[in-house]
Amino acid sequence: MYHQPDAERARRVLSLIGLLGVFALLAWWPQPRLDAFSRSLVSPLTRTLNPLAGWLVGDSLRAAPSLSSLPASLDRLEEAIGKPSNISGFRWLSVPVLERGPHSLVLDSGSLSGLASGQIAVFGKVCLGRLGKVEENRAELQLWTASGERTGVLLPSRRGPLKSVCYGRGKEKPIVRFVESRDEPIADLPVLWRSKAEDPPSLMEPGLELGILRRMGDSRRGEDHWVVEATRPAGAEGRVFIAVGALPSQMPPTPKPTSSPLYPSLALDAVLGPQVGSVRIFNSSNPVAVMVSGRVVGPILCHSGGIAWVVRRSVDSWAEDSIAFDPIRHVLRPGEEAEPKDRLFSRGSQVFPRGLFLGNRGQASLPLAGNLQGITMPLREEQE
Amino acid sequence: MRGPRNRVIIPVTILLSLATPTLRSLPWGAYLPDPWLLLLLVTIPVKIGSLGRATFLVFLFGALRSAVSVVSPFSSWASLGGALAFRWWSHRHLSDDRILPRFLVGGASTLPMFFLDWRASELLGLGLPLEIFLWRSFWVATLWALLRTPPSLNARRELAI
Repeated sequence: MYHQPDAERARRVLSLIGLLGVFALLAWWPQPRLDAFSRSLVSPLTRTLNPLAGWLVGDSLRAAPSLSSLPASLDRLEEAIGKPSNISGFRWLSVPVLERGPHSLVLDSGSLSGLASGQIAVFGKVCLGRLGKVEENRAELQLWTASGERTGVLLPSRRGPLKSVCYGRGKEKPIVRFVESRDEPIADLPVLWRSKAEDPPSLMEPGLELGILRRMGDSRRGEDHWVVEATRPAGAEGRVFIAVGALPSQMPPTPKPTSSPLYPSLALDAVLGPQVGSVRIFNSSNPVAVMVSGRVVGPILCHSGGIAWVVRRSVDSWAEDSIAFDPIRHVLRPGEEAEPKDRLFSRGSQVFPRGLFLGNRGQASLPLAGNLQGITMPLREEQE
Repeated sequence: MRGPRNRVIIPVTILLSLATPTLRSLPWGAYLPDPWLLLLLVTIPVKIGSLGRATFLVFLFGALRSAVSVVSPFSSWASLGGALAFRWWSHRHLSDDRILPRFLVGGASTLPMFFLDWRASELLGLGLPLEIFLWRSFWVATLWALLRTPPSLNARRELAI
């Protein structure tokens, strides 16, 4: 048998150990492109073995989920809960939110729908801010809490509302300045929005709220100041209402997520167990989530050779990525604050659609069985 | 020897890859040892003769593992290759004629897979209990310790006879 010289063998061993080190680093801190490349290398094996292994597992983990009554869509709930009361001379234009940031929202309508810079945006009884830059089909809503934003407010007091100005401070709570001196404000009560001189007076009719007045610091040392604990309704992340003089004759259609059929492949992962499974995709779609019977099974993690891996998530595990609807009080709240019997919807992000029904709080994850649907992100104008 | 052995090992590994999800679906399936790791440790001797064959089997076993798991091929290759490297290193420092050192050598070889599988579970937000990975390592280490009868035990048997 041929033996390589020791030095040559040592060099090869060191090269292989170095390569293993690189693989270990890529496994610990995955790089999406390299990960996709490595999966494409094994995709012929995946395409062949995965469905076969799934067939061997059989139907033991594939009990079809029972159908439960589905709630109204999140769009409709937001419309019903968020539409403010009528004001004279104005109509409320319902505008979906495209992107959300900590201090601004990008809206899915613009000047073609009658939006203009300076208009106020509202959800329910809460004022959110004013429109900033407005394009033909896009508008930026600057939240009143954003750094440097000045907003007129009315503070609660025993002798009637006190006029004042509130300054947004970004991550910090907005601070109240120039309080009318005729009385002392009362802490822990709602602060109302006050219109500018150029705003139509009827905008004051609904009594729009901004948040709760709080007193900070030590008043005995004269170090106290007033701040507003801003209220941001959970539903405002999906839809806001803008006061416009007239509604446009035709609103541009809101892009919706599309669905395509998927087929179960492997009911459980050979390493990580039953929380992960795979499905087969037979068309060119690029789904981001799997649904069955109108409920989300879980997000799709990655694709490889027509096989997509899905994490089956229980309803409670979505907490931070969800919006909860309380069917008794008829309110929307962040998923982290969900109560028993609340119905949860996906909160949405750049890579996951908003408004998919996740299930009722406390429900377990669904099996990868039945008529599976792959949900694809809605196509926006710039992607079309 | 080299050809026929691979001709046996490869189909066996493919069959094992197909059967592993079924084994995992059993009540105690989550705690079973990783079959690809076990097979690799059995197939490749501690003192690796042919680097080429060892590398080929590490890549093949890793690819088969990733065909039936969401775990990235990088993770599988690093786990399996790391297992051989850790086993070789620990074997150099520990005697192999007693069960406990052999158990430790087997345990050391499971370390890369233990950490990388746990990391994969964390990255996916599965939060699998650490005991699952500990039990898998324990079984691999135990089987490695028992697979070959240590010479010391052989000697005792001979004495008894």
